[in-house]
Amino acid sequence: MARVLVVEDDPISAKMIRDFLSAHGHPTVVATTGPEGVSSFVREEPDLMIVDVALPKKNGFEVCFEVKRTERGQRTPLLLMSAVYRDSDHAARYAQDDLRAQGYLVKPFDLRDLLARVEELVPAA
Amino acid sequence: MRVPAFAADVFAPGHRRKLWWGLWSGYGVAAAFLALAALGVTLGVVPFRWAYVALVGLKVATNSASWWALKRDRFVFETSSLNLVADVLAMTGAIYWTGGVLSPLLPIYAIEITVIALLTNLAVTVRAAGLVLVVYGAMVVATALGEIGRLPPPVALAGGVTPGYLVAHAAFTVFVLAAPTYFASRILVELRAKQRALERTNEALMEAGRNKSQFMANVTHELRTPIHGICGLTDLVETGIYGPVTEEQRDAQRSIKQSALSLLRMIDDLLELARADAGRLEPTVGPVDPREVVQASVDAVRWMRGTKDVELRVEIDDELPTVESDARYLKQIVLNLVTNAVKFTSEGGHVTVRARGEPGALVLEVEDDGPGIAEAERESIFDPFHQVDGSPEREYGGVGLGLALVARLADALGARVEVDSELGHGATFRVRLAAPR
Repeated sequence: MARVLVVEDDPISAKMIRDFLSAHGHPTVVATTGPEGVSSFVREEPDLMIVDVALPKKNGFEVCFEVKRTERGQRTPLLLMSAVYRDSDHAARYAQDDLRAQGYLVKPFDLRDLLARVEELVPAA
Repeated sequence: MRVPAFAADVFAPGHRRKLWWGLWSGYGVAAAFLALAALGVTLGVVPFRWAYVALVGLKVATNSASWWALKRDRFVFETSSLNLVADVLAMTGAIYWTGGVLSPLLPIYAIEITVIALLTNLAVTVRAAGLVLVVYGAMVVATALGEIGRLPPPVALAGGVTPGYLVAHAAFTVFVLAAPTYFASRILVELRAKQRALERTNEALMEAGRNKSQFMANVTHELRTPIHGICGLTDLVETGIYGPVTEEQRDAQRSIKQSALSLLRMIDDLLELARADAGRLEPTVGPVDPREVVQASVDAVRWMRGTKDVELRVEIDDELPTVESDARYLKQIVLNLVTNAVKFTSEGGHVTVRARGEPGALVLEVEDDGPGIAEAERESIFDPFHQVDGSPEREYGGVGLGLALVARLADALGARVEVDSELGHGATFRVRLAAPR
C-alpha cells in the first residue's frame, strides 16, 4: 500500500487516477492547484506524488522544485505528467535531470503503466 | 478596342474612382479657364476671341464623352484618350492665342502632366508628355515658318505691366499653384491612409504569428486533456472497479478507447504539420529497426479497419539494412500511408506493407488496390487538406492531412516519397531511406 498525492486541476483526470489507484490498494488524495499541492505534501506526507505540469497558480515544475528542496521531498518519488506534447523529450529530460523527478508521463498514458511505475517506485507497497 | 498593356492598370475596374476624379477636375479646369479668359477680357489684357470659347467647348465636349463612357462602362479607354488629346490641343491653342512662345500660359502643361502622373501611371504620363512636346513643337515650328500668324502676348496687348495685367497675372498664378497642390495633397492623403491600413494589417499579422506558437501549445494541451480522461475512464470501467462488466460492454469500451486514440492521432498529425510548416521539425536520429516500424504501424491500423473487410498483408525481407533515422517519424509516415491505403481500398481489397533492402537503401512500401491516382493529381496529393475529390459529396472522409504530413516528415528525414499508380489499378507509395552499408 502506497499513499499517493495527485496534483491535477482537471477533475476527470484526477478522479480517474484516484479511483484507479485506490481500487488497486493505494489510497489517493487529490490537490487541484500548485500551492495546494505543496501544502498537501507537507500535511499528508504521501509515499508518492503525481503532479500535472499545467497547474493553476504554480506550475508542476515549480511544485516539483519546491518539494524536492525539502528533506522529505528528496525521499518521496515524484512523477510529472503533461498533455503538452511539444518538446516532450526536452521536458522529460528537464524533469528528470534538473528537477530530480522520477519520471515524466505524456498524457494520455495507459493506467496500467502508471500502476507499474507506482509499484516500482514504492516497493514496500 | 483592347486597352494596351501599358495602360491596363489605369483602366482596371479598381482604378475607376481616379478616372471619375480626373473627369470632374476636367470640368473644373475648363470652368477656371473660362473665368480666367473672362477676367482677361474684362481687364483689357486679352481681346475677346471666339477661339477661347471654342477651346473650352472642345474640352467640355470630350470630357462629356468620357463621362458618358464611364457611366455606361463602354469605350472608356477610347474617350479618355480623346479627352487627353483634346486637353493638349486646347492648351496649345490657348498658348498660341496668347502669344505662342511668348505666352505666359506655358505652365499649364505642367499642371496637365502633374495631374496625369497622379491619376495614371508612368507609361501613360510619359506618352502624354511626348504628345505635349510634339503638339507644342509643331505650333512653334509652324509659327516660325510663317505657316500660322504670330500673335502678340497679353503683356504687349495691355501695353506693359499695368495694374490690370497684374490682377490677371495674379489670378493665373493662383490657378497654376492651386491645381497641382490640390491634386498632389489629395493623392498623398489617400496614399497615407492606405499605408496606415497596411501597417495595421502588418502588425496584426506579426502579432498573429507570435500568438500562433503559444496557441498551438495551448490547443495541444486542451485537446489532449479530455482524451486522456476518455481513455483513462474507459480503462477503469473495463477493469471492473466500478462494477461488473459484460463482454459486450468490454468490447464497446475498447471501441470508445480506439476512437479516442484515433482522434488523438489526428490532433498529433495536425500539430506535427504545423511544426513542419514553421520549419521546426527536429528528428531524433538513432538506429531504427524497420521490422518494428512496420509492425507497430500495421498493428495500430488493424483495429481501425473496424468491420471493414480489407486484408492487411505484411511482407518483410529477412535481410534488411539498418538505418539511422527517427523511429517515431518513420512510424508516423508508415501509419499514415497504411491508414490512407485502407481508407481508399474497397471491401474485399488488399493492402500490402513491405520492407525490403536495396543497394544502399531501405525501402518501405505500401500498396493498395484502391481507385488509383491520376497523373495530374500526383503532385497535389501532398498539399495539406487536399483530396483528389474535394467535393462535399465525396466518397472518402478525412481531412486530407495524411499525405501532406508524410511528405514533410520524409523531407525532414531526408527520405524520398515516390508514387506509382494507374487510374483504376491501385497505388503504391514508396519511401526510400539511404542506408549506409
